[in-house]
Amino acid sequence: MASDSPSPSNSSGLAPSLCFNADAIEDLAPVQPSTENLLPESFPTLTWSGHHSEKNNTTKSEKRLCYRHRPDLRSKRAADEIQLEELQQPLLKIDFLTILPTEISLRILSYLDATSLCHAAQVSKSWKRLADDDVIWHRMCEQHIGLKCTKCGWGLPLLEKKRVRSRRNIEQQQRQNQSQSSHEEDHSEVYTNESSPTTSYPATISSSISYPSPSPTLSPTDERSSLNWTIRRRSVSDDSESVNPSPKRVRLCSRSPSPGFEGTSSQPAPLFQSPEPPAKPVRVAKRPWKDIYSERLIVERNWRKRNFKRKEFRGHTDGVMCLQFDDSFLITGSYDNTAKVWDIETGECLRTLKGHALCVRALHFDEAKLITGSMDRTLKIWNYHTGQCIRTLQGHTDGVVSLDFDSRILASGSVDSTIKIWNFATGECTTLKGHSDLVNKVQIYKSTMLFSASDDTTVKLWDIASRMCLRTFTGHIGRVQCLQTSGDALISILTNRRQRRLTGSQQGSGRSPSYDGSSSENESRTRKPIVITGGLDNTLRVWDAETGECLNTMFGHEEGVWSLAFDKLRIVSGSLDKTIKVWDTESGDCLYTLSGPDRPVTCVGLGDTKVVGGSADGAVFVWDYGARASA
Amino acid sequence: MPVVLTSLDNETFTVDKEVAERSILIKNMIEDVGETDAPIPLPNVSSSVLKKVIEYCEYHRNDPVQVQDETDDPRKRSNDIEEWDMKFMQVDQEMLFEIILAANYLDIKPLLDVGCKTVANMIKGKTPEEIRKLFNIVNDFTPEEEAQIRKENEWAEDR
Repeated sequence: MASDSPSPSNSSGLAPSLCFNADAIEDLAPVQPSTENLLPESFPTLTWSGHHSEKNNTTKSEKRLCYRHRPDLRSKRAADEIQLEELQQPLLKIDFLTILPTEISLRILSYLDATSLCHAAQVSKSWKRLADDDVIWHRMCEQHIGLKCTKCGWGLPLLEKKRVRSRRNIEQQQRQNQSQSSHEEDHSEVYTNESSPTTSYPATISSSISYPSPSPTLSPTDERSSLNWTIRRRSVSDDSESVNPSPKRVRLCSRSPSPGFEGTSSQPAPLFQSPEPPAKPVRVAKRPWKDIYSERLIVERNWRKRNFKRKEFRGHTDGVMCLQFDDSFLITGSYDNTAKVWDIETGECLRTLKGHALCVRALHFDEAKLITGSMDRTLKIWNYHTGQCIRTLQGHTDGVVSLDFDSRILASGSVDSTIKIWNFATGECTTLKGHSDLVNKVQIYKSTMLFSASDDTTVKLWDIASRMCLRTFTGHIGRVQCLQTSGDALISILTNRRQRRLTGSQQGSGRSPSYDGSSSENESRTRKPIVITGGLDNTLRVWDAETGECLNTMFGHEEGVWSLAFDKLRIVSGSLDKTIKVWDTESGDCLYTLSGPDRPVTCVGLGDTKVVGGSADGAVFVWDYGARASA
Repeated sequence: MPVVLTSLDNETFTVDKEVAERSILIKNMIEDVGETDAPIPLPNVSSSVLKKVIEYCEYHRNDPVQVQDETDDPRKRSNDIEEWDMKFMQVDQEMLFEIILAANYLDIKPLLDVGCKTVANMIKGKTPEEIRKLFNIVNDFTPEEEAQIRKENEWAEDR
């Protein structure tokens, strides 16, 4: 009965914790056997006293524990070192961490911040063992990575850099036709979302896609096989589906070709086959969590201290209008009618994609494909690994200025005021009508909905299946130029900011605002799905994506906001005023301004270690906050 | 009805059941044994510590039972200590140590938490040398090891 009730730890040798030192435990146990069966074995006796140390090397026990601090027992040398202040303190000092049961010691340590933990690790060998414990640092990572810790106001970037390496390795391996097993190993070091408490977003690297049944022009060349690396490694389910014609495809064949579809294949075919969700590779974090934490803390410090390396990518001969990047590639679209694929680390232009007759105004890419939208009224699907244009989509009656896609559908917004939804699997195209002016930005929201921002100064939320406008967000007094949603993630936002602004500005502490996460009593944090918009009224607005309530309006830019991107920690915005501003996502405070371009900033991107901005004069700037910047 | 507790040194304490049952260990024992006049022996807790623990349980007798999740999720745990608890914990290291052990043994999670937080707050913001002094710990690293470990942990210093 009671003997199996909750008891102190017997999980470690330190559990019988009141003895002088760990070595004495074994001797002690038989001396003081439990006489009560109510007494858990691991909780022996309060009968410590000096005599136990006799059995041990005296200096050792004194060193380890000094449980009763008796100056007269200490060695002469040690006694000489006693300072006056020490004598004034209570005589008894206890090395808590060493003699408490490990689980309690770890509990104590779990209340410490990173700096204190690192100090604790330098105290002694036994402290180091405890303070470097992987469980402790895992918790620290959980608490800080990818979200803002409510205790200390710090949030650390997710840093998916490791994925780059694994991805590059995959490409290499794929070239070398190496076995799949070694590829799985590459994932072992990835800091994964499975082990992370947060989801990474924007989830640009989504599932892989497989290409339509081979069309005449697509012979299985080497390029093609390299294009399909993502498919092959996850191909089991995809293949099985294509072997048995799915109902979808049967239905598709009986359907007339969808309008505006200019494919190279002779029969109606899907734009893309609907992909299976990617098989989750087995991923195990092998690095110590302390390493992971420190790596990210260094990057976060760089962000806060503006410690970056600025790089400039030159190559476009006219204004850059759109961009996207991941860990390996940066792709930009320009008024020079091309899109360029860059190595984001080296700045090397890997490929120039030519084909559009007019300005490339919008683009989006995933692991396998790039889709561009152009003022020539078409969308093009590219294999950006080879530079090959796979499809051209026609349908809009005026230039395409925005697009977004997920595994199922492609959405495009146009100067013709409409939004078109293209179904990858069926090639079907539907139109959403409601905006009265140019649709500057579209983003698919939670698979079934879509946000759009328009020159008509409104933002609309649509239900894709019914083509109904669910809600119109009004508030901007200028054209709404850019928009991003938080997707499935919830974003921590401080509300009741106004009171704070008023009181805060009067205090006039010259510190940069709100990185400390301090909040006045009026403020409250809520976690919401949000959408942030920017417009030619020079403001950014944060909206509750579900209710349409405007949560915050951010002033600061001196001219129209052309572009924005955000994650859980930061918002970046690019403006006609030639600057990029970095804002705190939670508070909406402007943290600092990045300058560099001497022309308006037309597009921006945000990653864990980078801000990328494209300028109207064709230059692309990368601000890199990666650890190397501090070296 | 009151519950009688016997300490290590055979001192008996009579407390309300509600107070005694702040200890999950005692609560389970009472549930197992049923209502009885027999004193409950607590052979791991000395009378001075038990007195202190009972003082805590008396003060917190009406607290809602803590939900397990809250205390186990570090993100929801705060380092703040209530004012009364803070004063309650103003004891010497020996007593603090024994309260932590007793709270662990008696399974009084909130008290264990307060004890752990108190120790954590003692450590917080101190240099390694200050920590050694505070708890009378001998530095058992060689100078080479110490230099190496300082280097390993340098990233945490915000300069």
